[in-house]
Amino acid sequence: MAEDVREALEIFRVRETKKDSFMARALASLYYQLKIIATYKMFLAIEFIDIILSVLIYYFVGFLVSPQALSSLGYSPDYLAFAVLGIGMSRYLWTSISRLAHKLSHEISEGTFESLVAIDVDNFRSWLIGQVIYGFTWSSMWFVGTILVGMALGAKISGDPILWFQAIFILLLTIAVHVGIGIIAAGMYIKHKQLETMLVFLSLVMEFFGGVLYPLSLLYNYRPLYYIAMLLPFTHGLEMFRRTLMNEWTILHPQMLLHLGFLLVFLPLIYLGFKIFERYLNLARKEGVLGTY
Amino acid sequence: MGEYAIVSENLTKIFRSGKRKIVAVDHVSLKIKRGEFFGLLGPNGAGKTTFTKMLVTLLIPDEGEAWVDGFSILKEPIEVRKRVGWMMGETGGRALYWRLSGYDNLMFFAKLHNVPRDVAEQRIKVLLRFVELENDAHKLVMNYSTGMRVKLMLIRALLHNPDILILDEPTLGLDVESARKVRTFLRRLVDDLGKTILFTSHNMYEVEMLCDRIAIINRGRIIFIGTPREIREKVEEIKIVEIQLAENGNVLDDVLRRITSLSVVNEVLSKEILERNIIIRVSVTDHATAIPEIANALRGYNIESVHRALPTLEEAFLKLAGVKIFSMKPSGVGVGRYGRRR
Repeated sequence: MAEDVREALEIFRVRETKKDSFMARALASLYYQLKIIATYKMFLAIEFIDIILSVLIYYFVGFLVSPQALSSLGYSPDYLAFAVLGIGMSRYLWTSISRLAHKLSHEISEGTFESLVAIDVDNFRSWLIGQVIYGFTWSSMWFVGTILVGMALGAKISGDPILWFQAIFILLLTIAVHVGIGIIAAGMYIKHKQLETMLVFLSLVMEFFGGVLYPLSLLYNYRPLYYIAMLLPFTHGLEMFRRTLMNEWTILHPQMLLHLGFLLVFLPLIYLGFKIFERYLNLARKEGVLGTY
Repeated sequence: MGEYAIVSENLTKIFRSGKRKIVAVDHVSLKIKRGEFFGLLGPNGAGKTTFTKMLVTLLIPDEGEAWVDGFSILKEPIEVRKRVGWMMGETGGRALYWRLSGYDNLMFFAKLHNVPRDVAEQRIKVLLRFVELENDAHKLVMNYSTGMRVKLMLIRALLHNPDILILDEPTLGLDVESARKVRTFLRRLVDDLGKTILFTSHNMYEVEMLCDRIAIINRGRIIFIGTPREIREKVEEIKIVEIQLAENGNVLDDVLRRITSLSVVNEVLSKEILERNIIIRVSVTDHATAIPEIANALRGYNIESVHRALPTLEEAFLKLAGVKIFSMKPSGVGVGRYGRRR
């Protein structure tokens, strides 16, 4: 037997026993995803420019919105802070809803999805979690970038660490609720394919009704729209987030508690999301469309 | 179940497209022993890939059941996935991350398969050297040739040291030397380490050379299971004459015209031109009369031999299934099946 064949056989005589943790595997998924994205140099440059341009646009829009109008609606009279917090958080909304479906769409069209499903479920889940962390790492960079650029341009945002702690809690809760929707969307993608348009529409609707760029109270004059807005979880998350960092309201404020209650109602979506995802995955296995796009 | 690595009972998969139903795998029952090198042979679209995808739990069967290493593909898919190394039959290497290097692709999947880092590094290093990719290990996969990607996919299937390997056309796209090395290595995995390999191919040469047993699948149905020798014995009634001429290819048309005009010749099974040699195989009604008649018909040409020949697996398949399998050549070989005789 040739020496190279003998050497190649020898390495399989040893059975490994040490196992990595679930989180270590999830972080590996994150690490290699970052490596992949680092090869897209133009994308990285555009993302960086995008952060600065987005904030600059709202900086100039701020000149058009009078401080008195914002004050009359109960916000601090700083449109830039209002907009920066809105667009920063909307990035998390997009990530929560569309990241997984977008990633699965990419894996399916690249042809790597079946290889990932063919590993055992625990390891597949660690891959999924890694991808979710990747999405939020990216959103967080975007968020921090917009806040920093916004503050550099004069946006007045609370610096109280306790309020920031509360804001992060609200952010995580909002993400958890919307990740549930995102997981359902990802499951639907595996089965039905080409759902990008639907996801963009869904995110835009949530962004519009959530009041990313205007105070929600303005919708009160258009009752049906206002009620639709109040039914969407993002509306409540964003409202709490802004009130925390612009008005310095604590979670115990009666309006904050009301918004919190609304958000918590949607929390079971995350459990439901996993169940629906699994169901769609099995449907795709049944119909043989796992690897098709 | 203990002595068998893979068992399938009436495994059936039907694809529906509107009102159309396509039975891709039709009540396939197979038993593959532990430590067996088993070939699943059939033309394109026969159901080979669909069958293997059900075994690796990527597809749910419409009927029937299968067990891999004793675990049900329906009830215990997670256990099945842990025990199988699967290489998808896809020569373009789409199943890899093209914007990661070859090394990173392997490390990533090793991590997902829960292989400890030091073990993974050692395996990857040795296997990359074995398939002669060590100098290209840190290049992005998008810069790899098809053959390099196939090698990488094969290594990936082996990384977690599974006892059962399901390999869909693992040498398709490889050059001659690499295909030979891979074949030797796979055979040793079975002989020395007791691994079980289910191997799909439409390459007769490879299947005949490697497999302990083969199943022939056509239109989703198994039409034969046995050793390569048994399949040939089963179709011994095919009477074949092989004609070897030391001539250029430009005389081929005239040679064929002369041969096919003979009433003892049923049909031309294959024809090959190898530099200054022509090799033709024909099925005949009777050896005793056909050989002198053919030799007589080809008078004037430089005849090297006209002799009785055994049916190849390809011809046996043709007899059993009534359709032709496309490739008769070892992967990447520039000469024909008969090249070794030169």
